[in-house]
Amino acid sequence: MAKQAPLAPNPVIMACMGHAGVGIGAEAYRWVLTDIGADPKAPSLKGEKEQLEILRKYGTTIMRFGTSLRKGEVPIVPRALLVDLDPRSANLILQAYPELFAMRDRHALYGLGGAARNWAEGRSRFRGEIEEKHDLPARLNSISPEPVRGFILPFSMGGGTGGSFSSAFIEYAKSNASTNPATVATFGIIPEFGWDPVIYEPACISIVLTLAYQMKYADAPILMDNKMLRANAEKQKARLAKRVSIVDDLPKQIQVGWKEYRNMNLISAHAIAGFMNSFIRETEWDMSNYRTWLAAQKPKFVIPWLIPLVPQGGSELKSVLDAMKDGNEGILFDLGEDHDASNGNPKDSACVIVKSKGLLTAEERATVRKIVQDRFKIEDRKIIIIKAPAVEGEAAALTVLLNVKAVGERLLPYVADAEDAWDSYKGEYEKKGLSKTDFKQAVLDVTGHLA
Amino acid sequence: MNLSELEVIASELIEQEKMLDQIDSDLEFVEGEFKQQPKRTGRDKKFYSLIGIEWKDSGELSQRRAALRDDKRKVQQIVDEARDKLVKGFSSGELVVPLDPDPVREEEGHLFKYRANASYPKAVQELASLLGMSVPLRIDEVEISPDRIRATESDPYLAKEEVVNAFDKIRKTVALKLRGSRRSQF
Repeated sequence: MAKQAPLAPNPVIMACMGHAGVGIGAEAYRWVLTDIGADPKAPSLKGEKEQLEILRKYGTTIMRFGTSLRKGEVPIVPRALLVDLDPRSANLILQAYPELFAMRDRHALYGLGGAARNWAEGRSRFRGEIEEKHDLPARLNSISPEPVRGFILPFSMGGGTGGSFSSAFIEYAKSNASTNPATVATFGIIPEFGWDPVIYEPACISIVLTLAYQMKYADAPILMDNKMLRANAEKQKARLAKRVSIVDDLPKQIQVGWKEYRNMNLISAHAIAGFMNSFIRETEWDMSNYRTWLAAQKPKFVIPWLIPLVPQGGSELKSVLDAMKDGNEGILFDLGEDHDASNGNPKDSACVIVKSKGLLTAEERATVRKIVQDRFKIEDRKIIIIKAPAVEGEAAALTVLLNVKAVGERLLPYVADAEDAWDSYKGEYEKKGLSKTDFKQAVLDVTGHLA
Repeated sequence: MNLSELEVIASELIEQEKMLDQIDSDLEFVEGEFKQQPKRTGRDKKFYSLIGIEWKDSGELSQRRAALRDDKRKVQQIVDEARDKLVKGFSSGELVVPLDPDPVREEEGHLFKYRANASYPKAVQELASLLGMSVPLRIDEVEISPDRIRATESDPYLAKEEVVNAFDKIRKTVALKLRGSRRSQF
């Protein structure tokens, strides 16, 4: 049997950036493992048959085999890098999940404390404290000795570390011969102002710069915002309470601010897991395909719509319709109360990852298209349907990745406010190596792209 | 709107801005004098009393201050209107940049001269100021100077496309100013 084991696909590393990114990334691994019935704290393979099974289910794309600790058992370990300037969040994950993040310190990259909510400081410190000091190529190689075909980066866009580290990392990934062929997907989270602990004007500057880098270096830039994550988390509070989160396993006295974000992070994790299902399971889709889908799109950005938000029901597509009826669905980006989705742009498109049991019939495909078109004016030919198999007992789900022009309009006010704020803050940014010319160029690029 | 019209508006704006600076400087001096006035008036009154002549407040300083404030308001209005016209002009989809249709090959790229060898120093200067950049303006692979526009593209058709794209970016970015001013009204 071992001789006939399928070849492992090329791996995808999840590089979790900053405090929010580390929490969401770790949650995403847990979500994926829970979905397929593996032990999310210490997943392992116990025999060749099971090894084959795990490869069939989702390969070793996002996991790798670890060092065997018990006879006959092979642990599987996330191909995850937990990167932050402040080591607390990564430390906590490593301490709470010693068997999951079994490569211990090799999972973590950290610097000498926060970036002061200053994107430029974060970028310069990534270069100094992470890229040079830690020998990044060697670290990536230790997480994934095989050539990497993709990176997934969850992060918050309004703080100092997440957005700047992600920007610097994806620039690095696309500028180095060893990592350049890899597809880069980003999950950037826009803060909810007045709620999240961010400073408005610098956060706007950070958003603009991070958008500019994503436009340039990310192949699949996915955006979510905390306003909708919070609203959806509140709406699905009862259902989410039944799911287990990494936050529940953390020592109570040191939850580093994640407790309030428990349900929001679970939803974000679901979105990432849904996206990953399009290429880690047996599908007719590769992660690199997103690159071509979005290459000529303006805006290039994608927003997720989850149906259901919290898995429920059986593995047939019918359970998705039931979730719709129950209100167990949500778009994770605020398109605005006055947004009229029926008045779409001709170039709007969608990629729908359908996780369900068995084959997708023509009738079911029509149902999927109708679900999308009831909410968004997108032509049949602009809807890509990707069928992903559901594991026995796993609830069916749709992850709809929407590429709609309306997203750009929602982002432009941040660009305008960042530009207004620049003169007041430029001293702080210029000190950390971000010139006025670079900032203004980013404003031009982002506005030209989004407007 | 044509770039030559914007050049006229930009010239007017620059002139008026200079005038505004001068008024601000004069007003600053007069305000300083005005603050000193009570002290001086007190001394003056005592002196006039000593020499036996009735003291009269000429009111010259307050009249001068009022006149300067009035001038400032008027000039500021002209400046605001001119700036508004420039923002609308540069963000308009109908902006005409009168370039020669046939670019000249220069090293690896292409050079576009303005028609009739015109130059637009004030318009370009004010555009740079609106964008927070310096002259020459560099928008991706396009360099916009007062007397020419240079694209790095070696193919003339692609060079023209680069110029169109650069002005499209400019138009959208300057339009952010309109968005900002609309927001600040509320």
